Amino acid sequence: MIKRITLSVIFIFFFFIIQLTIFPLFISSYLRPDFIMIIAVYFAIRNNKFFLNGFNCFSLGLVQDFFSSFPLGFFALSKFIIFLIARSIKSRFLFSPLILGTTLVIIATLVEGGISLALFSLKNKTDGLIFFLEKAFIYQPLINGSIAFLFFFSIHYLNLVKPLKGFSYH
Amino acid sequence: MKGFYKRLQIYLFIILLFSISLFLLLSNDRTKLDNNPFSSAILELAAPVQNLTAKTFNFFRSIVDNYLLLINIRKENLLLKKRLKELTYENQRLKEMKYTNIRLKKMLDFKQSISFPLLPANVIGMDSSPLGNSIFINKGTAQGVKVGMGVVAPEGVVGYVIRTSRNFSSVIFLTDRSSGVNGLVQRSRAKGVVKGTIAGNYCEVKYLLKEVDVRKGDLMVTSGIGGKFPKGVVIGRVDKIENRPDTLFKMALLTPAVDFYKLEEVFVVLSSMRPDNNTKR
Repeated sequence: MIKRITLSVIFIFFFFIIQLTIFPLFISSYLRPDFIMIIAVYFAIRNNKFFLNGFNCFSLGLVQDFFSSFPLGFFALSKFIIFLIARSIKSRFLFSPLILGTTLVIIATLVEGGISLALFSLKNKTDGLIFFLEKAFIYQPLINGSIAFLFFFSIHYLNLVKPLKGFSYH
Repeated sequence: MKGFYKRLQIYLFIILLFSISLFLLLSNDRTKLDNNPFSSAILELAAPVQNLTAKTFNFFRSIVDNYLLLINIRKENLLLKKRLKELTYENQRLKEMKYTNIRLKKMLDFKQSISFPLLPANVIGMDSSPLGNSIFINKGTAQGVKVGMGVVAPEGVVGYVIRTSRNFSSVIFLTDRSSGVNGLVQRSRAKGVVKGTIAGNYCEVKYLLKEVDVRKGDLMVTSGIGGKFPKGVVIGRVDKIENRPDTLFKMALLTPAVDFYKLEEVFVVLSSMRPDNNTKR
């Protein structure tokens, strides 16, 4: 258990460093992949442990809140909602981890865009809406989807995502 | 019965995590710029690693740029290659020194042109979300940085400090939806409020009176009102003007002078005042 938690922490830490420090060194653009999102989806579907995975996604969002300009609690909420959606989709459709992971990352990006749009609307901050819609609902899902495909493609062959009980891909 | 308890546990778990995140979201809507000890501790823990990673990657990138690309040459030219390497390295180093010199001179000129005390800082990381608009710098409360202080670059206004720890701080961009700064049109001295948008890459100039003279291409500078920024720092250039008949004011869209995604060094305006508690975020 301790080994698993330590590995999870190292894993999360590694991807946070990639997202916060390494990406900006190489990608000097307002569009960049959201690795935290991919990891949240990975946590949601990697095995059938509901509580552990749910807590992991929530914690991941909470940590992300401290490194973002969004209000505290926003990413904790959005990552937990994404976890619930991912679990629900995983239990209903029998996709391979590669297709499931990529599709879920695209859906999760759209969901997070939707939640942030709802937050802005609540606070009457909707200037620049068109550009935001383009970024959050077109470009970002495509970028995240492409990177998620590579990510799940690599872990698919390492067999790091377990199927639901009683289901076989072959 | 066992299934009932299992479902109950799941529902309680969902309700608990939803309640925590909603509580955080509602109790912390940043109607005032807070800086709780927990967020400071997280920043202080993670930022040294970010700092180290940024330095290490920059170091390796410079090695790759300067040396590794020259490896693939023929054996009989080893001597020449060695000399070429030396010269290339020397050349790169001199070029880098030249650019550093130009950059530092620009920064020094900028620093001297501003009467406010400025604290130079390096950018060590960016916002965790692509939808967010903030950066992390390697200066914190130990160096005198406080929440609300303005941050500028030689090109113009960057934003202001939203979180601090002992040695690191988080800076929100001027283009963020919650940012705002008093500005004036350099040519006609017309006043307006420059506000960020949810688009995150341009600003809007609000409360420009209909009769004031604003044209496309005009430069907006800080007015000095509010004390966050010195007077006369460039904010950006007017890109588009909207004259709506149903409103009292006209509105302009502004392209910031700073490319936020290419920032390496910034200045914190040390004597800038703490913002009012009602600064809407």
